[in-house]
Amino acid sequence: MKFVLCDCNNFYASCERVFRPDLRERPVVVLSNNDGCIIARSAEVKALGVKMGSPYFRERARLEDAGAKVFSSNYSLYGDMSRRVMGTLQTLIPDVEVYSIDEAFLLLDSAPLRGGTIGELCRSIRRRVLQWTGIPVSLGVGPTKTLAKAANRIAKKDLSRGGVFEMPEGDGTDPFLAGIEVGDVWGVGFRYASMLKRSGIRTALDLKGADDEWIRRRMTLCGLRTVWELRGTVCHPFKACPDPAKSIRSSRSFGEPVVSLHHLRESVASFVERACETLRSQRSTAGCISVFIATSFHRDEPRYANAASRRLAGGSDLTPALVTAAMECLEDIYVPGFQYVKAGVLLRELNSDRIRQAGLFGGAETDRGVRLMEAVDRINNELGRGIISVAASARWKTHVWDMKHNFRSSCYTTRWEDLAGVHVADGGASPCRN
Amino acid sequence: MQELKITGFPSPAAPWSEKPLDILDLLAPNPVSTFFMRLEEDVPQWALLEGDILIVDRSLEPRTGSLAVVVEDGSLALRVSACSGARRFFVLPDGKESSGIDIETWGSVRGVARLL
Repeated sequence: MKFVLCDCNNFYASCERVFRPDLRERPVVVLSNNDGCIIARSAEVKALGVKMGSPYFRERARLEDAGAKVFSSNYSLYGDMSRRVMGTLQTLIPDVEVYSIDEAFLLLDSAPLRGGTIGELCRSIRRRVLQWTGIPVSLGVGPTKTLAKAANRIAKKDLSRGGVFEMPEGDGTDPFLAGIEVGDVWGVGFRYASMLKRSGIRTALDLKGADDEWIRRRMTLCGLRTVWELRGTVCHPFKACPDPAKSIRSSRSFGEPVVSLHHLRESVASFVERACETLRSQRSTAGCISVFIATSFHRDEPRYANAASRRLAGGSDLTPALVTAAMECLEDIYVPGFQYVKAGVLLRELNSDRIRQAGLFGGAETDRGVRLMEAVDRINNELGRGIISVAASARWKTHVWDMKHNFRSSCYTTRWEDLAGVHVADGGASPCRN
Repeated sequence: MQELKITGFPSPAAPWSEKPLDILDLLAPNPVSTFFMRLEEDVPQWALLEGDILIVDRSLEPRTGSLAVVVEDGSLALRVSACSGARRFFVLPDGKESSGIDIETWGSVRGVARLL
């Protein structure tokens, strides 16, 4: 049994290029929500030395000099292209675990090989995804997810491998693991990476050879699993469906700084509403809600950040109850006079028991609430999100805190008015766009 | 819409029930590789009008004589795909060969949708 990690190359930038062939040779970057940071870079931009996550305003001059094309993130487009990539994978491999918007683990047993090698199969997957969707992908193969992920890294970095790399058997992995920094191993976060480096563990190979007991003490069982996976023992099995979330977070950076409590209330209410939709869709209740607000940490202005929580007796999934609790939290932490740029809510202590504890104690009032939420969810599912919403979120208004996306491309695959245009005139007559 | 249940006599048609026709089964048999695009000008030679929606399937190999959306000089253009020996070339509405260099197929046009 083998795992394959299929990862889309520079996914967001690649999505933009599918419909803009004029950008194939040009550097392309995609910015985060509110056009703040760089979250996707084409190969040309990486070659310029522009770092992932760096603020756009700091790189702007350099990008302009290089003739780069800048996009705001267009998640309607990326979500649809992701669905197409994952759907294409499924036509070749039955077991696809979608890990993120641009990554999937594939489970290979001998069946789909039909006599060919794993390498040949991976190359045909790569060809088909590129042909059908226009998105280039890289594939890494290994006996565990962690090794497949490491193999994928090599497939991406070493262009001579044609986007596919298979980890050798047994200790044949060692020379390759020696070339991977410990911080780039799947599951090793930034903090653990610096701790490991201080202790002389610098590469994936060092980590593979680390002492089990030492790792377990310093990095808990999770860290030990990573080590075992590097040695070829499966600790993260293939998952057909996701684990239910342990917490639900809904937050956003504002398009413009927000000063008034009134505006913060509207934004927080809309976050609660979104989080509650997710909560109910996975049939859970939340036992605790937290609200946080923060000023910018880039600007030279007074800084402030704070959070507050409320318990929800017996757990709840009712939007009105959670909005009320969230508003109380917000009153606790709001201090006038600051320029807030971010706020959010976090639902915790999720209980996915279908038996509603509140139902036992809440009586008719809760029962009515549950039925109201069911009706609201059904209407919003059928007629579009936000058709019915709590008045506190004032969804019908355009808000100062709405997201900025000044360079967003068309939603080529999800809106009729946004379809890509096709011309007929002979060469060179192409309309020049920017 | 909710399926309506029968309360009286069971339908004699039930054993013969078939899936209703869906135009997408014809136009987009492979939804993950099918894209819609808008034609920007009239092409009387190919009986196409400005505003027609081109149904472009990237999984469909272009054949000689079939319409294809191609990448030509960095933009998306509509051409008729043709072959002479192993050489693939692309034809304009007036029947002449396109003068663009390094033309490549973006996807094959499987059909056209037009609202009247």
